[in-house]
Formats: sequence, C-alpha cells, structure tokens
Amino acid sequence: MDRRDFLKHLTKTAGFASIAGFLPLSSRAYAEPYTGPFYVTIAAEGGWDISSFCDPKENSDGNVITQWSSDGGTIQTIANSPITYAPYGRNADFFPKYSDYMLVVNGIDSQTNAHDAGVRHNWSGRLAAGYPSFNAIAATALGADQPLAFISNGGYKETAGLTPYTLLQNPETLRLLTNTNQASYSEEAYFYQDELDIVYRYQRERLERMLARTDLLPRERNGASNLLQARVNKDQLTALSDVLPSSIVDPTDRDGLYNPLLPQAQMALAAYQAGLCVCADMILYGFDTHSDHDAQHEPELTRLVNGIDYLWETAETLGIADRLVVFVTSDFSRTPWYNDSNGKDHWPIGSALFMQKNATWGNRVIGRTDNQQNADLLNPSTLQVDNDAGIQLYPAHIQLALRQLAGVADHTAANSFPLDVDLLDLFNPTLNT
Amino acid sequence: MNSNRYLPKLSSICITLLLILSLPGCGGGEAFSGNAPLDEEATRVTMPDTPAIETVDPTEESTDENTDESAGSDDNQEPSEEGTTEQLTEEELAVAALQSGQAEYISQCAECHGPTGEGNGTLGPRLFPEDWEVSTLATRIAATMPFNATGSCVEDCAQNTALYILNSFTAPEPEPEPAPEPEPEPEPTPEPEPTPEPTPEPEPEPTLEPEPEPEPEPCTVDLEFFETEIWNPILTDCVTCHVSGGAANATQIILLPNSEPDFLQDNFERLKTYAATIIGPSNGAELLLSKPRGISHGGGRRLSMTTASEDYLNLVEMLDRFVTPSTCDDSEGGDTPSLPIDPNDFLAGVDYHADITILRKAALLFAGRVPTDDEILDVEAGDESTLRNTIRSYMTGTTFEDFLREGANDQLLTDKYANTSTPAFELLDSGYPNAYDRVEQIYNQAYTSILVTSGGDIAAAQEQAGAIRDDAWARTSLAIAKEPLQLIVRVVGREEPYSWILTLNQIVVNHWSDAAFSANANFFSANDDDDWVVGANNGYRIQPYPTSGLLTSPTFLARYPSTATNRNRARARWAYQFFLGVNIEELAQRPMDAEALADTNNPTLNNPNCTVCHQVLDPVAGAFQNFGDLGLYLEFDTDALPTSYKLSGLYEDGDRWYSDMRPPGFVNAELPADRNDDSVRWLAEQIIADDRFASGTVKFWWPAIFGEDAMERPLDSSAEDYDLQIVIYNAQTQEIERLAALFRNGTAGIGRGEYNLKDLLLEMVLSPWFTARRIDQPSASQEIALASIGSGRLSTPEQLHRKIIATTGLSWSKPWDDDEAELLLEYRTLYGGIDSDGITDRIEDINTLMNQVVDRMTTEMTCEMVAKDFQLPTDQRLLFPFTDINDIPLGEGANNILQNIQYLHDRLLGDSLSVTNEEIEATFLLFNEIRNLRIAQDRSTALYNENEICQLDWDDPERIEQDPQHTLRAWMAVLNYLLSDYRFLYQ
Repeated sequence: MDRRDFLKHLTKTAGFASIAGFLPLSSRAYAEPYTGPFYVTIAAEGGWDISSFCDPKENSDGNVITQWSSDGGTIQTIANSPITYAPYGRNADFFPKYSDYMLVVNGIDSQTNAHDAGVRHNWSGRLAAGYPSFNAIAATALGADQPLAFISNGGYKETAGLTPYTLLQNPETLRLLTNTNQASYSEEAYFYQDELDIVYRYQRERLERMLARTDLLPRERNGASNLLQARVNKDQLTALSDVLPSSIVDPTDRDGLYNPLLPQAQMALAAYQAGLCVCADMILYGFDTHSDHDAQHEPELTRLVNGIDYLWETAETLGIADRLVVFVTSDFSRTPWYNDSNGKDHWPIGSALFMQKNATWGNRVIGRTDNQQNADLLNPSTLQVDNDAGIQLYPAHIQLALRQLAGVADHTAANSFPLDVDLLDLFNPTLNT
Repeated sequence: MNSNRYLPKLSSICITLLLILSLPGCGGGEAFSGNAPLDEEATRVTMPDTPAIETVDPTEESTDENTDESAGSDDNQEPSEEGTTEQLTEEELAVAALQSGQAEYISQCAECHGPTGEGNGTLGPRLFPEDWEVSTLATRIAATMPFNATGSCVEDCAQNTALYILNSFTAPEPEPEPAPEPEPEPEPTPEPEPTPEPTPEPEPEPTLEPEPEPEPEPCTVDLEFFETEIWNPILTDCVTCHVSGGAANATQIILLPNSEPDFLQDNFERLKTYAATIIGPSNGAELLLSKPRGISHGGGRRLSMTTASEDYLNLVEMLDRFVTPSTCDDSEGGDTPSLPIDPNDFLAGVDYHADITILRKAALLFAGRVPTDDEILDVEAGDESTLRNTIRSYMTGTTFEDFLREGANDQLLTDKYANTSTPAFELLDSGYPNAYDRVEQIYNQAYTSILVTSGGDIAAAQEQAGAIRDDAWARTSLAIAKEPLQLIVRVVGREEPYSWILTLNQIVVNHWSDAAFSANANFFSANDDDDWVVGANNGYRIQPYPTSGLLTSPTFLARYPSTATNRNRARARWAYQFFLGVNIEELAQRPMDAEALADTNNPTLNNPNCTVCHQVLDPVAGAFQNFGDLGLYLEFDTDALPTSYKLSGLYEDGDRWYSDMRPPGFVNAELPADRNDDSVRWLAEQIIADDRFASGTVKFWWPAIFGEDAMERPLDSSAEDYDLQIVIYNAQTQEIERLAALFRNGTAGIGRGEYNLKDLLLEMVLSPWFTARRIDQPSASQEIALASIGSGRLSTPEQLHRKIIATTGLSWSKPWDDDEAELLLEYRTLYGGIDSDGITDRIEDINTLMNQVVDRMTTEMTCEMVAKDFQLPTDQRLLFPFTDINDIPLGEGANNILQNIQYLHDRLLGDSLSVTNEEIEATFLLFNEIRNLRIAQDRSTALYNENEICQLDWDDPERIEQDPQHTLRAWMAVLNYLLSDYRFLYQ
C-alpha cells in the first residue's frame, strides 16, 4: 500500500476505526466513593517526650526526669480510666476528653537513636529500609482506584512502588485541578467536553498499547502504569470541588500557636469527605529538643494535641468522626534525664496512641515502663507485664496491629512486606491492662 | 585429663571475658567506661599465687558429678574461707574448688556463656579454653566478671571458677590435623633451600614443575560460601568502616570495597590471614567471632549478632573452612544458594538507546532543547567521540546552569532561604555590619530623588522609595541565598576542578550581594542580577574570613545549623553525606537497646553504641569549631563555644572546641595546631584528598541524572529479597566506583582533566543506567533489579517547564506575565517539586492530581500554541511546518497532515516513526475523529466562542481567530494528546 492508498483508507475509516489487533488491557469502571474508615497517622517528628505526655514520669531516686515533677506536679489520672498523663501543656484538656477514644501503648522499643532509622522503624515496622508505610499498604488494599487514596503531608511516605501519594495544599489551586477544562478566572470552558473525552480515550488506548508490550524496562512499565492509573478515575476529582473549603484554615490554633496540623487536617478530611481518600499522614516538626527542652517541647505537645483536637472536631462537624481512625507516634522518645543544656537527647523506648470514636478497645493502656523509662516485657497472650517470660514490644508489633485493625494484614500488599513478629491482640477489649 | 592442654588458649578466654564488659546492654555504661584498654588492663593486674593445677586431678567423672550439685552452689563457696579449707586433703581441696567453681559458673556465668561454655547463652562468647592458664583467667574474672557485679568474684571464687572452666570444658573440635598455617609464620614465603647462589633462573621455567607453592586458591565452594554467607550478609556491613580511609582504618582488618575487581577473592584471603593472625593475647579467629557481637568493638554490636545467629554460625563455619578448605570436587553437590540474577551480568538482555536518542535525552536534560538538525546529522555520521563532544557542548548556558542549581539544591536544600518567608538576608545577622548600608543608600537616593520629582510629596517619596528599598532587600537576600549554588555553577561552568567547591577561597556574588559581603568584585555588566563573579568576603566583622567554598558559605552553614548539644554534628553528618557519599546514620541503623544507651558518662566518647557514629562524626564536627550555631565565624570573638559550655567547668581560656569531645580531625588525622583558625579549610583539604570524594560526587549527582537516589546498602540480611538487593547494590556500587575512577583520574567524558564535573556528567549519561532502553521478557528478579535503570524517569516540574518551551516555543505562564511560570510557582509542589524546606523530596510517581496539572496545561495552552504557530510562515513554525490551516484529511492535505503528525511525534516525543506506524495512524485517527465530530455537530469556526475559549493575543492584529475547516481544533486535540503523553512527561 502506498501512502495515497493508505491515506484513502484512513480517510474512509476515520472516526470509527479501531486499531487492529488491540484489546484494551483495562476497562475499569469508576470506583465507588470510598466510605470506609479514614486512617490518619500523625508524626511527632524529632522524638517526643512521652514522660511529659502519655507515659508520665515523676522524678525518683533523686533523678530529675521531668521539670513539671520538680515543680511539684504529679501524674494525672482520669476517673474510670487506666490512662494517666502529665500535667503539661494542654494534656489536661486532651486526655480526659478523648480517653474513651484512646488506646495508649507504652514501652515500644525503637531500637535506635538515629532519626532516619527511628522514623522508618516506627512507621514501617522494620528498622531497615525498603518497607512501605502503613498508609501505602492501606491505600493499595482499600483504595487502589481512588485518585487521592494516600495523602502525604511529609511524613514517612515510602510506598515501595505500591501506590503513588499525593500532596494537598492550597484549596484554591486544587479547585483549578478538579475541573481542568474550566478557565482559571471565569466559568467558561476551553473545549467541548466530548472532544476532550475523545482525546482521553486515545490517551488511554495508547498507554494500554504501551503496557501490552513485553520489552518495557520495569521503570517504564511502572511509570506508564502509574500514569494510566492516575487517569482512570480522574473525573471523580470533581467530587472534591463540592467539599473543598473556600479557603485554607488559619494555621493559628486555639492557643495562638502556629499549627501546621490544622490545614493538613482540613485538606485531608475534605479529600476523605469526597470519597477519594483512604489515609493521610500529618506531621508536626520540632520535637527534637536537645537544649532548653521544656521551653520548646511544651508548646510542641500543645500544638500536637490542639491539632488532634482540631482533626476530631472538624470530623465531627463534617459528620465523619465515627469513621476516623487516628494513629500517633514519633521517631522514639527522649531521655529520662536532662543534659547539660537542659535538653533531652534520644531515647529508644517510646509510645503510640490509637484513637477511634466509640472504639471498643478504647480507654486502655498496654505496655509499661519503669520509673527510668525502661520497657517492661509483656505476656504476648494476656498483654500483662511479665518480665520473666514476656516479650519486648517493637514497632513491628504496632504496625502489624494497625494492619490488622484496618483489615489489610492479609492483603498481598501487606504480605509482600511481612513483619517478623507475632500478632498481639492489642484491640481485644477483654485484655485489660 | 591434663589441664595443661588448655594452656594455649588461656589468653583467648581472657580477652573474651574481659571484652564482654563492653557489650552494650549488659554492663551499662559505667562498667564500660571504667575499663582501661585491654592490654593495659592485662599488664596492670597482678596475680595472687596460683594453686598448683597439676595437683588437681579433675576427671570428667568428677566434673559430671559436680554438675548435679548446682543447688548447693552457695554453700560451696564457703570452703574458700580460711580454716575450713585447711581441714581438707589436697584432693578434697581440689574437688571442693572445682565444685565451688562450678557453682559459681552456673550461677554467674552460664546465663551468658551457656551451661557448657559453648557461647549459647544470652551474651557471652563461646569459651575456648585451650590457650589459657588458670592464674591469668582467674585474674581476668576477678577484674571483669560478672557483669553488673565486677569485683564480687575475686580470689578463690575467681580461681575456682577458672579452674572449673579450664577443667570442664573441652575445646570445640579436637582439631584432626594441625592448622595448615603455623601461627608464628614470620615469612609468608618459606624458601625451601638456602641456595647460596641466587640461581640464574631467568624465566619461570614452565618445565620446572615443583609447584612453587600449592597456592591454596580458594575453592569454588568456599569462595561461594564466603560470598553468599559471609560477604553479602556480614562483611558488606563491616566494610563501611573497615576500608581504607574508613572509620576503622587503624584496625588490623581492612577490606576491599566491592568496587575493586577481585574484591571477593582478595577479601577471602584477607579474612583468612586475619583469622590466623595472633593479635595481642588473642587470635583473629576469635576476634572475628566476638567483634560483631559488640565485644570491645568500636562499632558496637552489628547485625544483631548473637551466638545463636545464623550469621554467627556461618562465621564459625567460614573459620572452619579456612582451616579445612573444601575440595573443588565438592562443588558438584554443594548447596550454596544461587543468586536470583547473575551478578556478573547484571544488565543481561538489556537493549540500549541509539546515539540519536541519547543525544536528545541529553539535550533536553542539559540544554533544555531538542538537538538541531546539524547536531543530529553529525552524530549520525560520526563516531562515539562525536556524540561525546556534542553532548558536552550542551553543558553551557543558562539551562545547564539551571540543571546544576536544581541538582545541587535537591541535595543541599539551600534554596530554603531563597524566598521571603525565610530570607537569607537575615542569616547575616550582626556579622555583616555593612550589609544593610547599600539598601539604605538606595532608599535614601530614591527618597531624595522622588521628593524632588514629586514636588516635595513626602508620603509619596516614602512609599515609592520604600518599595525600591524592599526590592533591593529582596534581591540582595536572593543573591545571598543563591551563593552556594552559584559557587557550584561557577566552578563547573569554568571547568575548574570540582574540588574547588570546597576549597575556593572566594565567594560568588552578584552586584547585590557584593555590597552585603563588601566583596568589591569586578562585574562584567552593571546591574545585571545574573552576572556572578568571585570576590573576597570582606564584609564579615572579623577578618580575614577563612573562606573555603561551600563549607564556609553563610547560607550553607545556616541551612545546617547547630546547637549547644548538637555541636556541629549535623554539619559533619551532611559534609560526609554530600561530599564523601557516606551516610553516617547508616552506621547506627542496627538494633540497639535502651540499656545500651542508658549511659550518662559521655556516651558519645565511650559507649560503643554511640561511638560507632561519633568517632567518625565528632572530629569532623570539631573541624567546624569556629562557626557558631547559625554559622557566624568566631561568633563570640575568640571562639564559637556556647555559654552553657563555658560555664560547665570544662572550658579553659583559649579553647576553641569542647574538651569532652574528640579533638577536631578527619579519619585518623588530627587538626594541626597551626590550622586552628582555618580548620574548615583543613577539613576541605582532607575531604578532597580522600578517595571517597570522587564516589561521593557521583552519588551527589546520581539523582540529577538518573532520577533516584543512589541505593543505600541493604541492612537486613534476613529479608527475603536480601540476596537480590545485594546484587543490585553491588552492581550500582561498581558503576559508581567506575565513574568515580574516571572522574578522579581525568579520563571521564572527553578527558578535560581530573575532577571535571562536566566530564563526569557526560560519562553518566553514557552509562547503562541512563541509556538502557528495553529488555525483552524480563524475569521477576530483573523486574526488581532494573527498577531504577534507563528511561522512565518522571520529569520534574522544572524540566517539564523547560521541555514545553523547548518543543512548543511557549511557556506555560500566567497570561499577564511570562515570568510567572505555572510549573515553577502555582503547581510546583503539586507536580512533585520541592520547596527546600518542608517539602524536600520530589515525588517520583505521577498521581491523579499531577495528571490534572498536565491536563490543565494542555487545556490552557494548546489553543494558543496552535493559533500562534499557524500564524507564522511555515518555515518558521516549530509545530506545524508541514501542513496548512486548510489541509483536510483528503488527498494531499491528508499527506501533509500525516507528515506533520510524524514530525510532531518526533519533535514532542522523540519517536522517529514511519508514517505507516500504528501510532501515527492512531494520531491521525484522532485528528479525523475530532474534526468529523465538529463538522457533524456544526460547531463554531471561531476559535474563541461562547463554548470554547482560547488564549489569543488580542493585541496582535494578525492573530488567527477563525478555523474554517476545523483543522485547528483538530490539531489542538493532537497537541493535547501528545503533550500529555507518557513520552512527553517522562524522560
């Protein structure tokens, strides 16, 4: 066939021909809006001081562990709750208000005093590199077709190739992206939508042709797959425009502190409300207080609880609080003593908080540390302290429990990254500790 | 049994028992910190008279018997009291002593060392009693044992315990044959006969077959065992420090990195030699078993190793294999696990891009444009040197400078200060008293001038002059922020040795920062913000300022600030990372426990769990001694030490550095006293002289070229995919070292000299990691192993911005200002970019929102692109040189359309396809489908209408507004299709 014949042929068939021999690899239907639990992880980046938070320590044996204890403060208790807290920052508002939501796990051994390793260990369950975050696994297992399944604000966001993550920031800019055919500064459209839809179809078919090849480098295949995936349900983003706040929240919290958790929470909740998001990480920096510890750490913990409170209150306002699951932890904790600069250095034994409204497993504490913040061992069956035959709690136990809680522990995304510990029944309310 | 048979091994148990004191998690910090070095301790302690061992006849029977009497152990200690023992016969005494020793062993030692000294307890090493004497062992026990209770077992207790150990435990193996390597071995070449004359012996004499030496070539089985069970899981960890120039440089075991050609065989021999070497009172074999478990090991415990670990057992087996090598015949049935892919042919089956494609990729990367026709013709006609030279020619101009700035900033993140929320100007603080002068002068001049021209309107003068001052301030701030990146641009652009980025004794300024730094530099053109030249930092309040490239840049120092407790360690950490490619934190990624860290006795100096990093880190931190927390030189006039330290009692007048830290230095060198003032410059000299500077540079630029960070060494040897990960890591490391060697010796690229970064970058884009194109039917292992290789890197927002301009001639910018590029501002972080502050990692996988950014780009731009390009004469068009607005898909018009589609695939995607290719066909179908739809729907022919808007240049009277044949809208669809294509978005 010469060019003229070919052209003649093309002209005749234009508009309704299909590419011979091509069968689309994927014909996904649009995913339903995600309405399952919304998992929000919050990182207290730098190493929080749990002795002034959820694992309170008074001074003992002449050792100054906490300044509030030196100042005459005592460990605070909550009626009908095993949860205790330090008289510090906004704790007195936070813990009593949310104790029913809360499972406190103390005595988790991060096994490191290096930030990178601590972050990795606590958020992936493995000290070595390469394991994905819980969010990446949950997004893959629960929201593979959702365009914003995993929103990251800068926490540990290793995906290990499971799923992309998305950064959400300015709602005004986001609005421009929810309907890309609408002019930036008017209601007018650039194109007829049916013409764009034709273009999108051709785009998808070309990508599918590419992915049908057997000689692609893995990197190209991964890139093309991601691009195809990114486009599959992009129309769903219009749902986001319905729930996007008109403007970003003022990041000043109720104590007048600059609090980046507020806009992070606002945007994450909007994405969830739109049915597009399964999980989000939030992050608050500033906990690495090697000097002048209390002057810096108290406002940090205040920011943290104010941010968590804002998250719950906003979720309540949006009517989605009963689907919110929150997990909070840090790289590790801080030494049970002050250094020469009145600061606190790194200490591997830390804590974590799980929160859920109406949780049957709430209002409990698992794990214990001694008065020098050394971890006691736990009986793996009863979760009671058993320093003779118990086991040490590691981040792997926590991450495995989180996977279990989300129902993703047996998903292939999780099975590809096994955690080498036995599952502890942390969420069994009959195992009171 | 004669206890003398144990004498040879006495020293071994001494060392293991003593060294165990330093094991983290058992003795706590105080026990460790109180210990003297091993040898000192050994000579300092004197022994009480030892009872004659010969008089004791401890038989196996008696030992067994004693074993059953552990319940009475406490009582059995009583006989040590005087008076009681004197009543007993010599034999009874001996038995009692053994019983007492046994009881003590069971109660105090067995938990760690195991009930029979096999080392299968919780911590202690296996006890090899063959070389020891009772007296020496007793002394050691008295001085060092047990954990947490040193001193509680002395004199008779220690004596009896030693006696029990030496008489009850047997050596692990009866050693069927004498060790092949006699321990003294003063000379490795024995020289069989003392032949007086040198024997002419001109040549090796092939017939002279007396086998000069059996040459115990490691047999395949042993070497494979070494590779899979020792090198990969264990020694790749050790080699981090035990390498020439590494932290353990001064030890007796130095390994070759895997970048060396014969590293496996060489390291096999090194380990074998070390194992057989007598080292102090011990031998290497024992140390190989104890050190990784943290016993007297500067690196602390490694790989969580215990005596029960698989790694440990493999080490034991390796030592056996050294003594009793496998025969090569054994290789047949060996159970050595095979690696998932061939490490020697890592890229097997990979196909590579043609030169023209490499040229295009390099042109877009470095020059932000597509190759010219002439360049393409040259490369097609030329050889590899033509390709090299052509690519090398792209390394000039503003786009290449952008490439350098972006690549460097992705690492250094100094652009954190290139904005108004964290402005660099404020970093100068009080250190640069004249920094504000020029800004104020500008204000005063403007105020005076405006006051005159406005007829004395003070308010107007203040407002307008204030705006001018603010602009001057912002530009000055930006120039200060950009200084580190411009330094790199300067050094690389002028092809100076890359090492100058650390040693240049001048700063780089433009006319704004020139004033701030009082540099008095000579500029090529006045008032050009992009005119960057070098000058002296005369602006700091203390002169001379010891300028040494990036390391003394105020912005760099401020980006990595210090605190009273951090003590410059962050700066040291990042200096290692950026310039030597060493991730210090990797050293601390092994598991450790809280007790190991529960050490308040200067743990960074004494606790192995801390020293593993700090012995490497702290001397370098010390080299930054003259710079304060925010980077001000001699912040407190004579030093930069914080007040808290000066009040601590440790400070003495004249100190520059903390006396409770390691002194300033680098690796094994201490800072010379006469370099106190310019200690950072001294550090820079050490860094650039280190072999790792070259490989560190390769790693620094690796993500800029290949789109991903260089892989970190896999740490978890128990991971299922560990073998595969190690293969990948080794392959990448070899490539890094290959590139580093070329960079170091000046043969990279086109060989313009040593440490020429342009040459290195050129060599990198010619690397298989960059040029790999495809692989047919990759295996599952290859899917993983090749995941970071070749095409498929998502363009950064900056790169995509440049590519849009390069290929279409238009910038995606705000309609009112071309400088407000959407991908550099509004959508920068949404499209995966960084802000160098809170967002410091680029997103590498496209997500839905990023795709929406692309969608918005195409919907906003394609109408303007088409309309403007068609407005030009065909020979000036970038996009539509082969077609006309009236060409419809019929007859010659169709031909033209096809030809232009073919051209667009090439121009936009880099795909040179035949016109009959199915992709050309598909695009043609798209063109037709859109046009047919419009005709069928009788849609407007006006480009701007009530249903479709278009960014037209309304000020241009020649603008195209009509699309009579609906071809322009069809071309818009084609552009939309191609500009959002995988090959446009990815590299």
